[in-house]
Amino acid sequence: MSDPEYLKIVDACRKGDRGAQKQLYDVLSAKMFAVCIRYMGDRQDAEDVLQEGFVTLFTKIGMFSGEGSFEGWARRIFVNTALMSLRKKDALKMSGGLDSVQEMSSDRPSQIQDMGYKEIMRIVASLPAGYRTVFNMYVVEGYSHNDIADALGISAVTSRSQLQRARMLLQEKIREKKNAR
Amino acid sequence: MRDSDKDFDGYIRSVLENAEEPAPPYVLDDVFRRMDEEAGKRQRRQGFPLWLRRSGIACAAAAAMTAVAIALWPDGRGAQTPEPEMTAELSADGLRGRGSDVGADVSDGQETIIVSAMQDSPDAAGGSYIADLLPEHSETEPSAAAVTETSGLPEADDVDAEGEGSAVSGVKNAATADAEAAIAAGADAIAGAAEETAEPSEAADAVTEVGTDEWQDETLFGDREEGRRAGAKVSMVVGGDVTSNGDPSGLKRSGGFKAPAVKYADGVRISQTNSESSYSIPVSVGVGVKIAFTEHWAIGTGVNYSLLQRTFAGKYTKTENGVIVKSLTSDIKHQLHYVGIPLNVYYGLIDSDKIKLYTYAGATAEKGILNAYRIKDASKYMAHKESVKGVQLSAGAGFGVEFMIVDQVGLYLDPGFRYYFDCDQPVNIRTQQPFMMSFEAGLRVAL
Repeated sequence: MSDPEYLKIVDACRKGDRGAQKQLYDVLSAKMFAVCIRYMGDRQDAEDVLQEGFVTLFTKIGMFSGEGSFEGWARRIFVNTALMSLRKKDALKMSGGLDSVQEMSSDRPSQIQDMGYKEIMRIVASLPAGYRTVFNMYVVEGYSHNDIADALGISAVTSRSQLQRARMLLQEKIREKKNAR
Repeated sequence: MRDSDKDFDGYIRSVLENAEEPAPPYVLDDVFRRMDEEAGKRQRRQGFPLWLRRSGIACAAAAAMTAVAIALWPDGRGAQTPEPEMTAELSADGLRGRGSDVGADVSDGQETIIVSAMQDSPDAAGGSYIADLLPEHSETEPSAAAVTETSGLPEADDVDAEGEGSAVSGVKNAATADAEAAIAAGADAIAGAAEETAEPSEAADAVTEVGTDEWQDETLFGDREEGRRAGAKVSMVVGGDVTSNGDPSGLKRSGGFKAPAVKYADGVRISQTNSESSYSIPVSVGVGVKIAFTEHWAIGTGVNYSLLQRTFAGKYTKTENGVIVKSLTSDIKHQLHYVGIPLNVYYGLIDSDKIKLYTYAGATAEKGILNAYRIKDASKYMAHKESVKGVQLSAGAGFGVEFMIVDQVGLYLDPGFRYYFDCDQPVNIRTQQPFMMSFEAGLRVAL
């Protein structure tokens, strides 16, 4: 959906139009649920975050200035909602070292390309919360390490180390998956 | 970052950035239910629209500012020293009521007509003529007319000295001591202002009640007994008031004529040629707030507007350079407009979900904003306006009942009585009948 089309729906949602809200839900729910699953790692928790995120979205929709991508603005709402939920669960503990993880070979991309997006999504969701969160924020959402550090209350150095460990573990899991076939 | 990491990240991002996972359909139902619940909570917290809450605050602020303005209003009474010759002449007659001439600035729209001679019109009712006490109208008539005050209040025919609920015991000045003592004898003492520039007194005209800040009370819609709090409760009230001694067709009371005692040179004078005036029932409207501090006690204030009207047979005289240039005798319609600030104390007797019973007492300070006369001149009317000096103070008490229409809106009825102190105001029903019954009604909205 293009931004002008989003804006029409957004205007109606501002007025509390339930039909427009349902339409917006139909357009965004699949993508946002995928975001929730990536961060929460668990489908049930992801449903809770999805519900919370849409309540926040519909409540705060008047704050959208119209500048930039509405989908990107909405995605940030769901990411923040997921992070708040993880904080409440005290799950944002940075994971320890991965001494046993072996680095994959340089042909990682080809191995990954053999896997569907759902499989990769499940593998990312299976990472420990700390790795998963930093990986999602840096690789998928495009946050800088400084932004991640501010959001999670860690240092940028910790963010980098967590990201590196996330990559290593992810690569290990992908290899294990490939070897299992 | 190594190129391999960059490539890896890039591929992961391309796969997951726009990944989709079908969401369960019941999630949307849960979303709407959550939103409805939160909207309901917000509505219960806020009660009535924000504008109503802000209106209540604005009324309280306006009342406070008006109180300060009235307290600081310059009182030019010191310059109203009557002329010695007029004082002697009038006081020698032993006026039954307050009698004086009105001196005023030339009003708008007056025509200059040379009248060579004036005749006092006999009073058809045969009453005494206050005009008899005035200097004879002649070309050599003194240009300065003084205003004098009588030494005491006129007799009030129907003064109810017993007055249930009690009158205010404040004494305005020595001239009112007798009347006030009679009032206070049969009534409970109520704190009231006794000084000329006393604190604003209460007008039963417009009472605004401040309701309760109930949005935090979780038991508001449950058990009210448990839900009552000792904290401040605010409500806003809009109401009106009439005062009367029971004659709905207009009161006819003997009474003199009192002017603001403005010393004037050439100018306009309005005199009453008949001792009787026909008074209309005074009407007041206003808004205010009422704040409850305990379960039983509350205090209310606000701003009200009152209109006092009477009609009397009088004479309009305009003098220039000692020469009377115009004189008219006709029925003169006299209007006084007051703005006042009431201050009431309430004590709740019964407080149920449907009805509330309480008693109240307090005082009001009112400032006259317009003193207007309409004199008929042939086929048209002339208007003559004057300022009103001083402040009208009054005190009152009574019982009230409030019927709750909905949870936060109640219809209230406040019968009571009120006593108006002698504050040197222009003649009106209050100066002639200082002790009156009152009846106030309006709406109270809890904020």
